[in-house]
Amino acid sequence: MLFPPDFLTRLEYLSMMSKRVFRGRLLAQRRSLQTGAGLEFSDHREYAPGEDLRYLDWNIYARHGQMLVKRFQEEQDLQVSVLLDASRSMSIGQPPKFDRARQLAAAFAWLALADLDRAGISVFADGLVQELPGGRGRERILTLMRFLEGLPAAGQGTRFARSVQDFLQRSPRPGLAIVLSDLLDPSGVSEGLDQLRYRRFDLHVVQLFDPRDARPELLGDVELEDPETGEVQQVRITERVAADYRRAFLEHQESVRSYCLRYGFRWTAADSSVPYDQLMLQMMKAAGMDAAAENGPAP
Amino acid sequence: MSLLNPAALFLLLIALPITLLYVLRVRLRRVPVSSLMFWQKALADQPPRAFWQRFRHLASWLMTLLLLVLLTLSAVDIRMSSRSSRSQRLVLVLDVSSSMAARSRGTSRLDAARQAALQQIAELSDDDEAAVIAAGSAPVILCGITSHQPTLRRAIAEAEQTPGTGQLQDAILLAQRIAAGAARTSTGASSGEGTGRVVVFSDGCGEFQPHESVDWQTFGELQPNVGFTAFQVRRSPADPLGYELLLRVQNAADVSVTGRVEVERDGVPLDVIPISIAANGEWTQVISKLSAEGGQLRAELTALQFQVAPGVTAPEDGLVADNTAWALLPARPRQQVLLVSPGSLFVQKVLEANPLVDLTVWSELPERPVWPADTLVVLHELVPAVLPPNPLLVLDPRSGCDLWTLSGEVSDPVLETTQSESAWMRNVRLEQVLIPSASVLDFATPPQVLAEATGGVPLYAAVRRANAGPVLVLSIRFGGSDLAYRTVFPILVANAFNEFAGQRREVTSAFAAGETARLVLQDDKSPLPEGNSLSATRLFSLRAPTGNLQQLRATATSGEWQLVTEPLQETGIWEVSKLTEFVVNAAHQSEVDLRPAVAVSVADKPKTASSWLSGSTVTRWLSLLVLVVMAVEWALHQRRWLA
Repeated sequence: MLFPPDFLTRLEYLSMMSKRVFRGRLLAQRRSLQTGAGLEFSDHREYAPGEDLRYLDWNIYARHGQMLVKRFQEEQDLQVSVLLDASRSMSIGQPPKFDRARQLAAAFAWLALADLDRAGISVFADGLVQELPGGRGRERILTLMRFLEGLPAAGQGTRFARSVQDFLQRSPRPGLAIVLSDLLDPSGVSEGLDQLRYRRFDLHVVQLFDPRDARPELLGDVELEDPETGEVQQVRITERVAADYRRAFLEHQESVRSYCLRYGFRWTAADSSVPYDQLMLQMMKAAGMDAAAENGPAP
Repeated sequence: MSLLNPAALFLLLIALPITLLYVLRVRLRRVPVSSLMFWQKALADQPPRAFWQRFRHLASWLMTLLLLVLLTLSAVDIRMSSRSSRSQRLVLVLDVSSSMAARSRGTSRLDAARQAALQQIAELSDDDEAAVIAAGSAPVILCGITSHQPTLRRAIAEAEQTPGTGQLQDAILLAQRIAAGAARTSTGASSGEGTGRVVVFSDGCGEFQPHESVDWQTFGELQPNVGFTAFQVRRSPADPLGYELLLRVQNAADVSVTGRVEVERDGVPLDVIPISIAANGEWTQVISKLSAEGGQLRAELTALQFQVAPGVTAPEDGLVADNTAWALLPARPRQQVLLVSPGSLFVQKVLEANPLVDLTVWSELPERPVWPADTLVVLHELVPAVLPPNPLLVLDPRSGCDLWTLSGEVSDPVLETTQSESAWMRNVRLEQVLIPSASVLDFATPPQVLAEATGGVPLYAAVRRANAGPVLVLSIRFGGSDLAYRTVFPILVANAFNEFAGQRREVTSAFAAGETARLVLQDDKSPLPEGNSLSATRLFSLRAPTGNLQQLRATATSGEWQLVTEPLQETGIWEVSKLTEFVVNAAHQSEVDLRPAVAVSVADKPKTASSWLSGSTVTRWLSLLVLVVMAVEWALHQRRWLA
């Protein structure tokens, strides 16, 4: 069963945990990365000719002679968009990665809805397949769960860049984008992530993997079948080949992780064999430590 | 080249299913994975193996076929035709004499020789032939010329240690004849390519001449040894009816030795004599005062200790078997003798001179005599009409009786022995002895004539009676003859008394182990058939010291059963049907000395004809190759190797 009877109970528990971890800085109270006509000072930037002189920081100018414009953080509703991978590669695993991804999607959505944010789900494979538009209110979680339950992992291939492009065309408003995917796109995922970054989305990449994806226990002569392309390849897997595979897999994970770190995004490698609530707690703890590192000890 | 087992070529048919299996190949397991892109990247890092992997099935198939071919070649047993000229004929001579029982470091010389002989057999090729001869007291062919190695090994294993002297000389001659004969048989007289070789496995002890034409493998060390070389009861020169015991011990060592000789009779200690023998010396002692009861004597050397310099470890006695010896002491029971004589001082004194005789004298023959039982009766001149049932010695009968009649007198007869081998005539030989006169007796039944006159007149005869004692009749007139004054008469009387008593009291020499014994037996319960037919035979049971029984057939010769045994391989006291006993001792001078009597030049270890071309070696090489190919094939299938 994708969503067991106690699923919502556990989500409530996760919500409480998130409040304690973030100590009042929950999703809805997060400052948007957008700067604009807000009240809270954000930072300075160079003055460009033609800009409104009201925002010029005259004190700086008086002291240092530099023309810097004050920027203010724009406060607005947070749009949480969950980008859920529904390609056939997500059906691999025990339990399938897609099941775990849907549970995580529901959890993330619940946290957003619980904090009065807007939450929507966009399902992608070789393009945007389905979409549940963003909405607000806790009662929306049931609709969202029904939507997730009806999703198959039947997408032909993974084309993340194209999927992001479709998503951006439909959701021009930036916000928090949570990507739940194994990111097994042969053409790479950096292009899609770049598009989100360019559109000033705050990103949280959850890279799902099955333990057998990371450490295959295959040896000898086998036929490998790619569920997305249907391609079959006869290979002789030796210890060395298996080691090379593990190395390639880790390099792939590392490339995504380094990308996210480079641009300040969150990245989580999620083992699909780990229960969703434990995964969520791990992610919260990581986020809490990050927040603590940014803001110092909580009052 | 020839194939001994061409039917094994059918094994090659297995190549068909092997090829079929390789053609069909095994259906691979299909495994769905999340993506092939990492696998492709990992496999792309193996370019050097791509070529090999393309052909690995083909290589495996070819290797399996190679395995099959090698196994088939091994099974068909290839024989190289060029080997026939290299084949060898060995005759192995295994010394099994008593000295080979000497032990060193827990192993006897014979065991070491057996191992060396087995090793020699193992090195033979399939075409080589060999024979095995045991050099015991007589050469025994344990196994004739054969190439069947299990038979040869069994023959070597069954070579038994003998306690006697090894006739190595005879064994080598026999081996050379076998080797020469085998070589002629196998190669033909004209080819001259055959080689027959004799290999002797011995300790070099014993009496033999070294042969340069044989290969020697010697065993054993220069061990000291002390042993009996003589333990014998003999007649006493001082006492005609007494015995004395000769003991002789040899020290075959370069150091002196001390010890004890313990002598016992029928298990009762008789004497303990300390001995001390110089290096390479000999100790001899004669014991003259022996019991008249007789019995089995056993002597044993104990507490032997070689005298070496301080700080030098004293060696141990090399051979145990010659530390014990046996002898038989004849019993000397007293005999009741009744002399019936009108008066002959000489006869009476002869009888009285015998210390074992309790003599009673009747000067005349009663009308109704009552003959005492268990008494030997000597009738001198006086002869009753009916002879008593007692054993009788009749001297110069002057009248007839139920066994003979007096038919006259012969003057100046020349006396000659006719049956010198008879027990009655032991130690007596009468040839051309002129006597003045003798009575002529006509016997009712033909007697056993022991001595007769020139004309065939029996003058000393033995008559055996049914249900009565034997009768000896000496018809010489004592009055005018000097026969009585000769030493012959007391001996004849002693022989007669011994035979009457059922104990010949004759001392027989102990047989050396390994000898054959020739025995003369008398069995009153089973008398010889009438006429002493030479064809008469009878089975006697021979009991060895260990209790083993064997049946031997004796033939009737000269009125006695004569028995010839097989070589006696056990030391101790033997018994023949509870009639007589004899002794077999290991004591022999040549076997006591465990040091090689002749300096044998130890040849190099004989080279066998085994070459890499020999049949068994080809098979061995093929088998080895099969193992190598199997190992390679196994390794190729291992992931580590392919990786």
